Amino acid sequence: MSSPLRVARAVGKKTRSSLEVLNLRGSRLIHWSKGHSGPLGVAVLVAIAGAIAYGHYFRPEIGPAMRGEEVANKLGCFSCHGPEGVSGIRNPGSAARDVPGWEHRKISMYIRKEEDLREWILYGRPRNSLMAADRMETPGLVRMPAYEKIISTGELDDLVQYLRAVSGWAADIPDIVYEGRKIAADLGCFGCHGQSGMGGMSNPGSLKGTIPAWDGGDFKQVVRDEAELKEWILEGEIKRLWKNPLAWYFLKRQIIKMPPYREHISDLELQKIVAYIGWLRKE
Amino acid sequence: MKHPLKHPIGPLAAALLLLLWTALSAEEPKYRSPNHLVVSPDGRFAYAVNQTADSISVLDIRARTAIDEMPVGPRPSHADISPDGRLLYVSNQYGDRVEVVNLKDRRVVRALEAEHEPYGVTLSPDGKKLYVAESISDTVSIFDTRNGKRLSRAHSGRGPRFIARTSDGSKLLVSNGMSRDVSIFAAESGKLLETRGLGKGALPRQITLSSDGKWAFVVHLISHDEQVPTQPERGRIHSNGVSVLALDRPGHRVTLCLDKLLAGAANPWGAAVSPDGSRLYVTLAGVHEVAIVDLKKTLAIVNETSPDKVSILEEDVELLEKRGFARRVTAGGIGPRGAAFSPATGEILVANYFSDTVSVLDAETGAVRAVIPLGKPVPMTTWRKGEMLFNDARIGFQHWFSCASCHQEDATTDGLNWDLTNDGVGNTKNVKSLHDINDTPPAMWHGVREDMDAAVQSGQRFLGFLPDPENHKALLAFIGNPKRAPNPYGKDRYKGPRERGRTHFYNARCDACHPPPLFTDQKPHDLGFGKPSDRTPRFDTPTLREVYRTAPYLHDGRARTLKELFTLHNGDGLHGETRGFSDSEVDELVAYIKSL
Repeated sequence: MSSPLRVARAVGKKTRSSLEVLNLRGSRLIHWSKGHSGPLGVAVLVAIAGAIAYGHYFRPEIGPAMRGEEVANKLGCFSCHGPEGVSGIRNPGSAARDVPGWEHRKISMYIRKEEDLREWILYGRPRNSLMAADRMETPGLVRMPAYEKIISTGELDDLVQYLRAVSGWAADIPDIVYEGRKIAADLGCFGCHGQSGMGGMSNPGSLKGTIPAWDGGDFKQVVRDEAELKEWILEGEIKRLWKNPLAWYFLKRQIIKMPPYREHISDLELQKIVAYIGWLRKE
Repeated sequence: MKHPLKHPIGPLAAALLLLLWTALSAEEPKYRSPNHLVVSPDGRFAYAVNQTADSISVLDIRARTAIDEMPVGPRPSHADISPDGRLLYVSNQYGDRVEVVNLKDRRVVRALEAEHEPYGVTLSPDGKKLYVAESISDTVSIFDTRNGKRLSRAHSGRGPRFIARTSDGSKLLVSNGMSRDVSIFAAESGKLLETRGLGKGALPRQITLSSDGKWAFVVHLISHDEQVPTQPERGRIHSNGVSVLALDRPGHRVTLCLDKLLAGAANPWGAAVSPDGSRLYVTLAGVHEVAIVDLKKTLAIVNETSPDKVSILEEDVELLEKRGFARRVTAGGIGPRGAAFSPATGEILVANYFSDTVSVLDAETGAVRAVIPLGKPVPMTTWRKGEMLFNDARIGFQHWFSCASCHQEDATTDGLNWDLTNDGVGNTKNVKSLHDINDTPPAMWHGVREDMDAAVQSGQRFLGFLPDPENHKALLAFIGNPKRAPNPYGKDRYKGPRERGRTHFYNARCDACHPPPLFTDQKPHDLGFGKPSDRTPRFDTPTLREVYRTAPYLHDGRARTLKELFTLHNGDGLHGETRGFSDSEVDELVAYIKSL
């Protein structure tokens, strides 16, 4: 499967291997420096430490939702819920006719709070929820399996994040946030920034090799405040980064460049998208 | 003298009396609320159908007094008298039957089992057949009065209210309270002959015929739901009038407004034609007046109106003053509804719903000759005052409409889509029943009003009603404590499908957004029903309580029936997992939902 995640991981490996090369050279340098002068050795060590820190700092970010997709793939969720979980296979004898996909409007018929989502995965049905567990026994040939015994807590957390990303489901989401997500989806933002903006595709030649997710730590490096966020969306770039030679180099070199949406977005729509991103980051 | 506490009987009795007194005074006073009037063939007596007292008052017309009152079944709404004057047929709206009252000993002798909420009843000229409009079943039934058996049953439009027959007994005309039309049936076979549209006419009430049987007159509102309701002036939201239908010309209709340029004629209700065929009397329930319509002038206007002028004429709120085809006089009471002509005295009798009186008007001049109280006057509770104000257009600008003009007299719905400006324009919304507004905030389809109080206040601010703290309090008391009709779909005959439907309800995941006991999660959801002009793609989940009487469905009323909702409008399965249901399973699901 050529998921964005895999690409991102490959890019990550590449970065790591280049660091190894750097390390090797460093050790030769150390060896060489031994018989010569002390201060040079220190300088070399500092340079190596700096390089490692640099590599660590600029490693591509892999968010929980992206890891969750791997989990879903491993557990076989897509076999019944369809590719990416968008539409399920036929379930003869069920009221729904099909195994439900994970679109938020569908998923909200099955869960009311995140706890329900976890229980569906663990036990094959909500157990402790107010969601009338005794009545949840829907007829149909295909039953949701219980993953309680084979899923780790970390995997469960990741999977839940992935499901939230795919579905866009959230309890009690305010109108403006809901509409912001809808507009972002319509404009195609999620094509690059990942489902619900929670992490997506790679971008060869960029600083980190991936397009930043809206909910992770990378976002903070390129967006310091709301004004910068709006500038990114409207212009596809921000002036601050152009002043930085290193950033300038990567922005120039990267394959995918953020498109300017100025001509295609209203002030209100912009406000709503900003509200959505703000909401997502506070989650 | 002994200390009173040593003998506890005295204080105890006093305490008991006090308790009894409070219990008695706490009991809701019984209003009669006369809804309809029938005059006996000999012209001596009039019978008032008391809708909220479950009784019939007997009035001696000449003596101007109520001489007797007899109990009948729950919520009597309409009645007709046999040609010999011996039997009175009374529809029990909440009893699902028509009771037969023997007028000699004034007691119920028999009952005919009807479908749900029978309203209008009328007898064949020979009295052998009874025609009944069943307002919740949307059907018209024909009964054999000798054995009480139903001979036939046919579908009418939505919410059939009043029923009239031609003098030769060949045709039946039914005014459909919720579907802007009149159904015409063959009286013999009970077959539907024609559904005649009323144009912009809405909430049609009483229908009656000219004495020669050529013309039918049906009173109704003219509701301009095609435009944004921002200006009540000139009846641009609602005007009020009477439609004249030529029975021998299919599709013929001419509507005349009974409004004046600066004074609306809100909520026309009852209609009666004088025996000589010269006048039509129309009660205007929202302005407490009676319109005396000169039929000669009226028919002249009707005859000169070509088909292409009909839609222009129905908007002409100056017509009454320009052409003088009618006069409006005071009804002599509050909330005039049923009207009947008394041939023996040459008077018109009017049932005043909120005054609990019958007023006697001179048929010629319209002067009030007498007001007959149906019993001791009962002081109005805040609730009752609220009900009165709800139906009163005098609290509205120029009296064009009352709350009941969109929500009917029972605070439900007119079934129309209106484009209120509170959520932007260009996005019409189906009128919601107010019965659950108090229990299930927020109000309005987009939840733009946080609760009932805010909604009623904005109604006063933006829809031309005069804000008044006392009125506001009373209106909230009425709207917040609705008197619900007994749900006919809870009956035993629906038990099987209803119980299977309950299982389907949970299997289809309906309870995700419509959880009991309110049957709404009071949250907004996007099921893909919105359009770009909507304020947001999400709509507040409506309650399912009383959904059997709030058709059509969805925010813009796109589904005419609940079945349509699950079949035509749920192709993606987002509004309940019903795509796997068979036809009969959908029927069972509907049977359950209707019982809520």
